[in-house]
Amino acid sequence: MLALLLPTHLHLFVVGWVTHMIFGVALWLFPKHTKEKPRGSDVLSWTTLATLNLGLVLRALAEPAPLYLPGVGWEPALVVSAVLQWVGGVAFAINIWPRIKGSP
Amino acid sequence: MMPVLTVWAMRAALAWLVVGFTIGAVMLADKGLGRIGLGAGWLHVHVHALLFGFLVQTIFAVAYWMLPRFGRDRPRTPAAAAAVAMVNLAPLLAGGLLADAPVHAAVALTEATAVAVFVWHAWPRIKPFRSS
Repeated sequence: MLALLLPTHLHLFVVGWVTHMIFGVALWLFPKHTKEKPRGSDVLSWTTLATLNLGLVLRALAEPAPLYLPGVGWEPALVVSAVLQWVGGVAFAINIWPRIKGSP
Repeated sequence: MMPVLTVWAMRAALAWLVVGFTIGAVMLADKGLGRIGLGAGWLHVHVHALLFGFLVQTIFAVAYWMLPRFGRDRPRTPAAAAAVAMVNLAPLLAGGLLADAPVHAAVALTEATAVAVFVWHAWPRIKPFRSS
């Protein structure tokens, strides 16, 4: 039972807290993108927040599902969760990349 | 604006983020589909890419940029650069696990050395504000 909960526990901590903290602080702190759009694309920022959280919640429900709803078939939810989280990570990388700026 | 070392470390960290998320997404999807059957080596690469390639490297990059300086200087910069090089080397070495290469010790040693060397860089920069 604990083995089934371990990946969920780790990802809730590392993705749900640590990664969100890094993403949030980077969006706040990194050099401005442009004067007009200091934080880059708002669409990509909100996409990151929404897909990462949706994916994580879906995973937290689906991964230990055999414990509380055996035989129901949550497997497709894991695939959707994987896609959502991947989209969140890539959207963040695309959005923050132009804000990594060095001194001239 | 960021110092050059931070720029390169952050770019590398984002590359590891995409690599680590991609491997993780394939593994999670495979847990649902059960078609590919990825081995344990991929789990190690996923963990080292995200933990050291992304997370630790991001912390190194931002700490090198943000910690208090001595005038305009950041002391022991070669140590910080070596630490950044090592957190990039470690996930690459972990890739050897995909070919069953005995690299566990080398990966662990590289990561531990990176942390120790970065601590040596950052230690003198952890200092209180001087009251005027």
